[in-house]
Amino acid sequence: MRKISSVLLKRSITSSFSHFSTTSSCTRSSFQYANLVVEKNTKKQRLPSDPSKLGFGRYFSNHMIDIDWDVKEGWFAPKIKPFQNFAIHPASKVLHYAQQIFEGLKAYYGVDGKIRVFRPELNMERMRRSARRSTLPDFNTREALLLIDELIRIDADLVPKTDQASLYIRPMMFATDQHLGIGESAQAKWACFTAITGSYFNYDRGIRLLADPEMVRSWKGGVGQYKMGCNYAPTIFVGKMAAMHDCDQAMWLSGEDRLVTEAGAMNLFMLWTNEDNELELITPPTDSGLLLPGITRQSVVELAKEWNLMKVSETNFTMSQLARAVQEKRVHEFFVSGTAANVGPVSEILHCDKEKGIMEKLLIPTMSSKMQLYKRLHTALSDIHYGRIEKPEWQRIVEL
Amino acid sequence: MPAILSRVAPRINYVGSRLMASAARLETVPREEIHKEYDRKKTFYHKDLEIQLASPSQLKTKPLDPTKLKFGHTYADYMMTCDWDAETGWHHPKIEPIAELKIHPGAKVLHYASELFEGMKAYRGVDNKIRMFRPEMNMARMKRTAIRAALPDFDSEEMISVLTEMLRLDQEWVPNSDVCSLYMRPTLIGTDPTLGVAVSTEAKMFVITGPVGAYYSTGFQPVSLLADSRFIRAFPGGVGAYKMGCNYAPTIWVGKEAASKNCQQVLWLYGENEDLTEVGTMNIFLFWKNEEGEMELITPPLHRGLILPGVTRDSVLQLGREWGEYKVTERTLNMEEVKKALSEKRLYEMFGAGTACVVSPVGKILYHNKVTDEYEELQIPTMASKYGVMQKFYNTINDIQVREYGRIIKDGWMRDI
Repeated sequence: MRKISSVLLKRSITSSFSHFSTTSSCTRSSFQYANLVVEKNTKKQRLPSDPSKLGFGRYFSNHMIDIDWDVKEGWFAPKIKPFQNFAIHPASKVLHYAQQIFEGLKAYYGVDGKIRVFRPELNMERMRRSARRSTLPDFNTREALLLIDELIRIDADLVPKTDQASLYIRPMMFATDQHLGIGESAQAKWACFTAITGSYFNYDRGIRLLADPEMVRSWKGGVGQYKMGCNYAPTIFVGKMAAMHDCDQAMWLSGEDRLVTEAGAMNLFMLWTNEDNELELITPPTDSGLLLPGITRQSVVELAKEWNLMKVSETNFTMSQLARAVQEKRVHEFFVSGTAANVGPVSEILHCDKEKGIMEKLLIPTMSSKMQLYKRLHTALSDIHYGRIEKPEWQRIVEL
Repeated sequence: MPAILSRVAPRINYVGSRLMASAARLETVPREEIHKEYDRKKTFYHKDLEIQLASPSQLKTKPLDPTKLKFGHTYADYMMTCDWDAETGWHHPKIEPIAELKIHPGAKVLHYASELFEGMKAYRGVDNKIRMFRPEMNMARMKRTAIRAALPDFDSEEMISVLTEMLRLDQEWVPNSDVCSLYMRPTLIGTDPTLGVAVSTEAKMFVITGPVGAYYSTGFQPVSLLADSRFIRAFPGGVGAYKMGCNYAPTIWVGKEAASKNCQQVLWLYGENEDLTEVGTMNIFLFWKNEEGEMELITPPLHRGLILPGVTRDSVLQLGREWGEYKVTERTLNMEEVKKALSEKRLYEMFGAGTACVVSPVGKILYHNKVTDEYEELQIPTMASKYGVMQKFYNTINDIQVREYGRIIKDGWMRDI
């Protein structure tokens, strides 16, 4: 790794003299880490000293990855350059038709001083699936991971040295074709930047969700299972409605039978005693195509199965099943999972169903549950993130 | 969704009564000036417009033959931009030479599709005057879309005045042809540079324009449609009725699927019954003899929120109702009914209606039968119809847009520059 770095440094010096030298290294199937050109930033980001003031995605690091793609040339040489604005033509498809995808993952500064990224290959695989559905170009997972390693390495001093914060990594790809016709883009940009990030929620009082079947996130035959920008725009207004009801997020219901699917931009879990009197951790399945296959979701399912404390099911459940179970005091815990939120307890679900004339507040005893499963999961994941527990297949160590 | 919107509706209603009272007292003040209070939280203003003229080197050569221009490939010299932030409201609108926008990598528009747009046109009439076609309809829709997208609202007439100013500067770009026009693309994006999925505290309005050529230089070209209910454009509780960028991204891949089956467009179906909703990015119309034996022009209704309320759709409905030659109906229509009418030879014409080409005849539907999992080819006899319903709409709307200046054949549809 050292050797490549010095080669890259040399390359970055030469590249500042000849901007066009990179075009010769175009590649069709994927961008290549070996072609990376680095331009160091001389300015440094200023950060608040108190990690609780960081918020989510407000403070960006000093560098970013920027790679262009063209249908004729393929991928151009990747660049790591000072964090800066994009110059985007006003007719670019990304600004009109939402041709854009993204990912969210995190790097953590471990107790042993090592920086670990949590299961990044899963994010890159999902990003490639999103790219295919968005008719954006494919790339190689391994090359992308090497570039992200390099980006973290360059800004390694910005990875917060506390388990109260982390480095949020945001890979993205969007269509830069300057023609207004609705169709496949002949140009695209792959970029990645990082943000020094504190906690997403204040978990002390638990999360309150608004469940209103009039607000729908995804539908069969749509793109709900992909991390495309278009899944998020319609939810912003709904988030505003949730806030008006003093809720933190919307809980998304789907279809006539009001299937419970997601909460905000997160997956959800319920620990309950089911109709067959079994203790069960249940989460909606991803094969419906209605929800995003979250990496934290997958990790929670895998951990829970490993622990073997209860039945673990990926099965649909409806809002009326949930409401009945709450009334019969069979719901023990309800929690959300996501990269930004880790695992977060839900304390309340405000259920409004105008069609069925329902308006009820469901109190969920998650935080006072005897089992404290959400907390154990949160701790276990956090231990893996910060290297307190070794689970090498889930931890990609960034060599410094 | 209407229920949700009604809850925020008061936001867009002007506080009229107080202003009316002051209007009565100040009779000498021209009506427009007392119509509204100056409030940058509510809108930007034409009177604040700043114009930066292009240097001779920034002016581009105009295309020699505008009829050959492809849609969205050529842009005029100027663009309009106007920034907004939650604290100050709207900044001064600017007209300046078209240039790349500087956008923060964390801007919400690039991640969460915090974006919406409009498509409208300016025409040069045979009297050489430039006119916009029903711009207030586009602006009203853009305002509705802005509310749903949690982006800032603005005043329609202020926007139209700014657009008028742009057209004055770029007037040579409005093609001198009765088959070409200048396409205008107002766009509103969320530029807030923070990664939370939340209301954007910064936004940018911009408008670009570009000449577009003739769609039918060699006569109408009927299109083939792929109708496959495994793909969906919109759903109840979603945003299909708004011109948000997010409605378009998922359709591109489906469009590619259609192209691989030699279809130019997708016929979007919805639900168990496979209701017809839209065709490509246009509204759909059917002219047939219904089961009661009446001649009828039919288009799916707007109330379920699955359909974009098109300006051309509205114009076709209005004209059709005025003519009174046949029944004009907005109702839900499914594939089964279409197939039945075809087999009974009661379906005469099917066409899309939209800003880009006014009308677009349908010649064929490649229908995926979900029961048999097989494709069926349905021939639609639009081009052979002896009724000429689509043709009459095309001629009339085209006449209103470019030919029939002087004669008021449709009061208030054309806006002079």
